[in-house]
Amino acid sequence: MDILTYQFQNFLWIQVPEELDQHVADIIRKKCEIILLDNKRKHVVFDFSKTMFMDSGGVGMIIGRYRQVKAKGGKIYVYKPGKRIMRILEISGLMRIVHICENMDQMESIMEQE
Amino acid sequence: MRNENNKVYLKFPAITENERIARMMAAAFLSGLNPTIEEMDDVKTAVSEAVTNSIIHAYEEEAEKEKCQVEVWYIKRGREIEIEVRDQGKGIEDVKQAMEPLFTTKPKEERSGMGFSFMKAFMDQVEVTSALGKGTKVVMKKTIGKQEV
Repeated sequence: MDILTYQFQNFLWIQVPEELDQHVADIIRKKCEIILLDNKRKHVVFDFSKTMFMDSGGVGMIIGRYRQVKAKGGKIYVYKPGKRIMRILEISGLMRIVHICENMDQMESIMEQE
Repeated sequence: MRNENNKVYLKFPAITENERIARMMAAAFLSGLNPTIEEMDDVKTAVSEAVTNSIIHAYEEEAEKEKCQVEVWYIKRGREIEIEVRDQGKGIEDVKQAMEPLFTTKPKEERSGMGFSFMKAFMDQVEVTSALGKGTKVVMKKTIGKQEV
């Protein structure tokens, strides 16, 4: 499975696939661990606009990326989460460490500030 | 006419790409009961958690995972769904501790420690029995369509 990522300014954008379980989480983790070693990329955007399913494997992976960027003042953004994803973010407590972004306008203004 | 009872058995090697297959089977099995989207997602998540636990924890040696098997039974009794996930791995030393939120034996591998919490949150009933060196069995139940009654 190929995970699409984009890098620009100090952001790493990750296109999360339709389902985010342990299997997919391992692939994403391996892919962004190295990119995030580069100090230029301090914020991570998880694009959930196409994602219908996430379990605790995805939760663990997001916490891992949070720990990785926190030290360099980075933030974790969750872009366009659906109803199910929101429920998982709430139950898991992830809402306390991620920033929700509902649309592109909001994302653009965040990117101008950061 | 809808059959009141049904039972499907699935057996597969303990590799993570099979999490998806176990979930898909749950969705197919459940669809005859006309579940809500939420009920469907709840069961899929719980199955995913239980199967992932067996794959990640029961069998430690990466090389032996392909030889090790995870078994899942999907059982329907009227509106009640029972899912049983079984492995013959190393077993859990302290089941009570394992079921505590955020407890994990694998923090370095970024396991969140929320697997059992998710199973409990999304199913009506979760029972875990385990024997060291012999394996673990997780039985989960949920009644579908409670809102309609």
